[in-house]
Amino acid sequence: MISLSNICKRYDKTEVLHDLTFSIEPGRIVGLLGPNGAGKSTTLNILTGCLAPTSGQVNIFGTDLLDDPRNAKRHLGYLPEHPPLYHDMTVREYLDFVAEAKGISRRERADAVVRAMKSTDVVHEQNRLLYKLSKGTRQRVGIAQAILGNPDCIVLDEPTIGLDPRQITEIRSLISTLGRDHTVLISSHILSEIDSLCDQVLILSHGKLVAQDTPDNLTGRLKTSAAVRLLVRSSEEKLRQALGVLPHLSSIQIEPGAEANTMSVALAFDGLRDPREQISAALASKGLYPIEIRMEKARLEDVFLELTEDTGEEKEANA
Amino acid sequence: MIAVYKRELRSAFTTISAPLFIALLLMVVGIYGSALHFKGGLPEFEYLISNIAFVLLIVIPILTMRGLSEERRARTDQLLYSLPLRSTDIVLGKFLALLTVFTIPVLLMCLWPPLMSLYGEVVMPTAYTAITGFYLLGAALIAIGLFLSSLTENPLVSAVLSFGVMLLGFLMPGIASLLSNASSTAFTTFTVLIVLLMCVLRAFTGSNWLAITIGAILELSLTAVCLLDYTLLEGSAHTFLSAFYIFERLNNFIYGLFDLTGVVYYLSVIFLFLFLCVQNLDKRRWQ
Repeated sequence: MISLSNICKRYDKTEVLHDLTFSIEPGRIVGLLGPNGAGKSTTLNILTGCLAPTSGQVNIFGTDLLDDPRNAKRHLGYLPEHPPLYHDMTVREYLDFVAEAKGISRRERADAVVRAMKSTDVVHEQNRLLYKLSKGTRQRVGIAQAILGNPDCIVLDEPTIGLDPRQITEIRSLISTLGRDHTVLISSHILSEIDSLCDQVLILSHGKLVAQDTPDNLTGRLKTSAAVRLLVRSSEEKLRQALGVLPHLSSIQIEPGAEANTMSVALAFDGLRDPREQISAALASKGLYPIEIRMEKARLEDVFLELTEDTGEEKEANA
Repeated sequence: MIAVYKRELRSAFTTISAPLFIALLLMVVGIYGSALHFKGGLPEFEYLISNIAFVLLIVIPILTMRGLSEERRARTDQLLYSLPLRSTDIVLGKFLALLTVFTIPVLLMCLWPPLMSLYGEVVMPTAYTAITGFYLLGAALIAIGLFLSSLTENPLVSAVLSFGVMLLGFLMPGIASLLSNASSTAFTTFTVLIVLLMCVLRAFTGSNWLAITIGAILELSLTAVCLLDYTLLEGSAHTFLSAFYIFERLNNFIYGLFDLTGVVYYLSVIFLFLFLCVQNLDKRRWQ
């Protein structure tokens, strides 16, 4: 398990991280989410020993990072925001260097390097100089470097930033594969990425942890609890009569549907998780039968905005 | 440490720094050697060493300029910090790699005395003592250059800084000879040095309070010494500044003396600057 306890980080007089505490269970893909400047990279740099915290403790699989950094770091593979590549080396030379620095024995080194290159699909690029590679391939070499030596936890800081859509898909599927055998911690400000990849989400705002849960539980916590879309063969007037009486209804929007003689209805409810049965009953009472009832899932984006906005307001209120 | 050493050595030869360093050094040795030994007919190899020592001022910064500044510029320092390496491994690996590059031209220079002995009488012990001194001086300058390269992320700034500091070391005997032996001169010199120390402390720790406190303690102690016995400070400015005569220490080796204090001096400079370099790397993590 990886745990950070009461981590604070101050640069001169600015506090970047404030009393940050969280832990990550082994074998999970965890997303660290936050707007730019929330302290994501600082958190990851502290977690991987690149930066020392002003106060607090970091424990990596039972080893204290500050007391015994060498052993703690053996459990970690880290890809910083900018892949740390030596441009005068070939892919193979670079990975050989990292493998040796990670203390992989000479006998196992060649195998470990080939395995990492195969996992990240850079075998055919192994003799090319790093500066000649495309951004996506460099990112993959960066990930290969992180997974060398099969560390228990892989930390990736914004791994898909600056890549084209095809490269993004490749890197995401690579991360999903890595998640099968490793604990993976990725930071991102791209919500769909975290939503599709992660089992657990940590949301940071202004250097504080504002939420820690699964993506589903987080969306379930939204204040506006349900949005439903209907497709019904009827007129707008009849629909307003039938649906207007529903309890907890906060808004109703009716417009012509895509199919002939249908109306599309968007309903929003406050404080009600699943109003589908009440909607069916209300329509049936007026002799109307829906062609389609669809719950619109609240998006992680909404949770994110709500949580990060809240702390913004709090901060202003405190000031 | 071995991984860093191998990488640094490979990098020195894949970039222009090591070939340029070796070529420049050997070129100067060649030009001065031809002039002194072949044209001038002098059999003393140590004269050559004495004449070419100044060239280290120019070539060592070329060798060390990328040392740690390039790591910061390319952000590969983050990789080194996240790997299970200590700062000492990083600094020692780099230092030994640069020292290996310096060893190559020095080994080639070692072939000169036997070559020259084919045409005349060469005093071998004196020649090799001079080469040992030259090697120690070079190693000490590499340690200084490596430390200065850890202060900036711009290799060019690092090179200029190294050149400036080494030039100061080169000119120090001349500067010191301008000062009189009087206590008042010593008082003024030490006060200037205390102010400089305060500036360095402020730059390194970012704490005004610490810089002022240490500065005040030192200045008060200096004043107290003056008040107790004014004559105590006589000549002390020279004694103190002689610690910075890094090129001057080579003279004993050139005269054929295997000067143990010189050896200890150069080893201390190497140790001090590598230590400062490790401290600087660690400090950047805590800042």
